[in-house]
Amino acid sequence: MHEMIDLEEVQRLVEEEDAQLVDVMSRKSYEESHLPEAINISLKELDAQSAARLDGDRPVIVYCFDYQ
Amino acid sequence: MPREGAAADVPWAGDLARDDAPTCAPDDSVGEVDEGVRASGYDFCIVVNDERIVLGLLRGDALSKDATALAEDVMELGPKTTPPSEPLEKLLQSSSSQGVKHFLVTTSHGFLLGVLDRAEAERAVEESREKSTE
Repeated sequence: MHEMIDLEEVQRLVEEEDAQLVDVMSRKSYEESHLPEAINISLKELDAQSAARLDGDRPVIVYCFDYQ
Repeated sequence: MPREGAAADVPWAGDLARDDAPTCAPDDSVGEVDEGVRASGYDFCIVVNDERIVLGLLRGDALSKDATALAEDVMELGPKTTPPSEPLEKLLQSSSSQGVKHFLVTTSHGFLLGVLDRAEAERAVEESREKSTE
């Protein structure tokens, strides 16, 4: 299940539920700038194998450039 | 939110976007809109739909010619917008931004995040340069 969330909900999920942040932009873009503690799985790399790095018991927040 | 990374200190358009610019609905009358614009200190009004998606811009003659006209009938359609992740320096140097006093900062879906003032952006770039040379 997935849903769009706003900035406040991102902050709440990170602080209260230890959510994992996934930056899906390119490696270069990630290295230039990303949210604190986010990991990088670019859209090109995103598949079941790369997603296995994530903890299935915690919420996962996937983001790209927009920060609505 | 804070950023990390090699270029995390580079200021972005979204960092300085302010949400105090006047907005109106497409079916608002120009007379109503003009009053709000005069009170705001800005010289334009952003026309948005119920979901805050930018539809157009009202400024100049469009605000003064016919007070009974509807915003949607006299607005400039599809004004240029800037993504929040646009580095300020790059934005200010782009040829298409020359002479632009205010930038409409939106998501890729056109959701209005705020308005960036050119003078503030120039100050932020200058401060960023000074910090990076310290």
